[in-house]
Amino acid sequence: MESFIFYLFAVVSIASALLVVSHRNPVVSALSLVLTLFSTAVLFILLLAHFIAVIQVLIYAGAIMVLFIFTVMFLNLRDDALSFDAQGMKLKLATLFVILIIVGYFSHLGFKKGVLLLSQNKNPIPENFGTAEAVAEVLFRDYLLPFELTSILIVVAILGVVVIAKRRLN
Amino acid sequence: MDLNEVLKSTFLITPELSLILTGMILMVLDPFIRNRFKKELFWITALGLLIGFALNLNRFRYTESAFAGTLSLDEFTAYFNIIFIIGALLATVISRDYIEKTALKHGEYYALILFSTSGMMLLSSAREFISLFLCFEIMSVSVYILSGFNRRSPRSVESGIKYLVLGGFSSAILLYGIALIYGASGSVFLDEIASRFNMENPLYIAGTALILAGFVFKIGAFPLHQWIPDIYEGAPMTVTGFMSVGVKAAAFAVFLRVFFEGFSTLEVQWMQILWVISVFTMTIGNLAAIVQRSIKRMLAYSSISHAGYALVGIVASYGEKELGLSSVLYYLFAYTFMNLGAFGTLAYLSLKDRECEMLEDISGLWQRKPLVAIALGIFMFSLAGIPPTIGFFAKYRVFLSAIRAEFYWLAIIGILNSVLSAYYYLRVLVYAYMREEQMEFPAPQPLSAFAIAILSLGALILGIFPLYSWELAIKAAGSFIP
Repeated sequence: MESFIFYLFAVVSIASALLVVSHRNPVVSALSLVLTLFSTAVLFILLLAHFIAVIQVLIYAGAIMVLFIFTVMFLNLRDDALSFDAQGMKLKLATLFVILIIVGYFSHLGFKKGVLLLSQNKNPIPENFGTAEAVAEVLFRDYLLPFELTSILIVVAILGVVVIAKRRLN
Repeated sequence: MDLNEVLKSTFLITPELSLILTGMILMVLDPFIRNRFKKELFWITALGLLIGFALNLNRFRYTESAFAGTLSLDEFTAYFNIIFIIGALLATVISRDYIEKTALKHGEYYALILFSTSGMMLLSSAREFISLFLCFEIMSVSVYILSGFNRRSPRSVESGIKYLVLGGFSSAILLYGIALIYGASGSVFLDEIASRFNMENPLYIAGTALILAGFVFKIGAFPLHQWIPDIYEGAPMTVTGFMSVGVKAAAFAVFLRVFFEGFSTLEVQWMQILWVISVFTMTIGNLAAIVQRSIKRMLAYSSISHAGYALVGIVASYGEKELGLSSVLYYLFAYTFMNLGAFGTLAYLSLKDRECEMLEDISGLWQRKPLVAIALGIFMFSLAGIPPTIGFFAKYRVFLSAIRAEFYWLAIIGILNSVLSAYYYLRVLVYAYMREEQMEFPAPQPLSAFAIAILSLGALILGIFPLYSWELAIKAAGSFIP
């Protein structure tokens, strides 16, 4: 059952991710991105990372995607701006195919040597794994400095927005 | 990690905190100050940097690790922090007049310089991949914004956007490598990764290769060097000076830390790759610089070739660990003086609506501004590696270590490249000294002139009496060698 759910949502997430980059209508792309993020959230639940799954749905699929769709609608793109480049399609498909073959080859190698399965059942999962409490404990104790550094990074990003957007050019 | 350790660690990073705090103060003060007085925010910036510099000097006395091994505060860190703070301080001094001339805005500019510098400082001490990546981003994002800071100039905006896109791309590669290494080892700490490193596991190899690619981009070495000319040329002159010394030195610092501490098991393999990279980086940078008519673009290409010379030192450390590493450290120190000086002089000579960047723009400099011409001469001699400047001593040490480590071909290619580079550096001086046309030059700017004087005297005096700073580099390298 678990592997059935995994394969179902893995296929859904890959298919919708392909739709994000290939569809000509940006609204459809944005909505397929929502689908991708939802199915990844399900994959997180399968990994017992419940907290991250909830956060993924709340922030990415919720807040950020609303922002995306708003932006797309504000830009109000016309049809001629969205003309689809059918010429390069063959090349794109060929590239995709080659990449898939290479990835497939390497993962085959990895599985054969057994390195990709190293983590299987080696460490027992701690009791409260994936809960908000466990995440907080790691975040605010072991990774306190990276957590604080993130705040500086965000300040810098806000500063950048101010620089780009604040004053009119004269 | 309990509260006591957090407090102790916070106390240990006061130099970085003083810069971050100054940046915050600037952001809060900026809206309350009238436009006329905004240029005086410079003094607060300079004060913050000087406090950071003084606190940092303490670090030569101890080696500590902070935040449960996340940061390692040793002489290596202290040495690089000196480079970053000197670079940032002198760049801001020159920026004050440059911003005033070109009617840019002061407040955010200084805050971004401070944040970027604090990112570099933390980067040089990071021993854990998550912090390391975040520091990388703090440094890079600030510099992306700075390179697009002049919104009136389409070229500056173009350079900002290009840097953002390409830099984001390289960060993604780096992050992918980090993820693979974490997936294989289960740790983000360099020492634990080193002890679990397993040559049999392809994940380690792929991760190391991706991280190498990410760093090669940030250093600006072959084959990921093409972004440098466009971005350096478009960014405001002082920003180009700042990022060409600071970002490059920080990238080298973290490169050394990660590869020597984390991936030393694979040393033979990545050293071979670096040999090839350094040869191509030197040669391609030099060949492209020869044909440039724009001094700014020429200096951008020359910064590629200088990255190649510094890489020679890293390769040489394969045989001569201490000498090789200290020559890299010293090279980056010397490079700060000469390259920031060269860009600073061009910023000094820029007019309101015209950046001084083409060769023709400096013709007649000797007749009109002899002192500036002398300073420019010192910087160009130093970049070309002609004695008795600091550039000569740095190059001498790098090539000496290559010869000692028996990388003869590398040393020969390096020296040939160095001779080749003299052509385009000296051509700048031909225009400055021997052309008769009189260009229009800006009025004297005392503060910038002071900064350029310090840089040129530094490049000259440290070249004549190099031993003290050389000993510092040896000490720093010594604290770092495992």
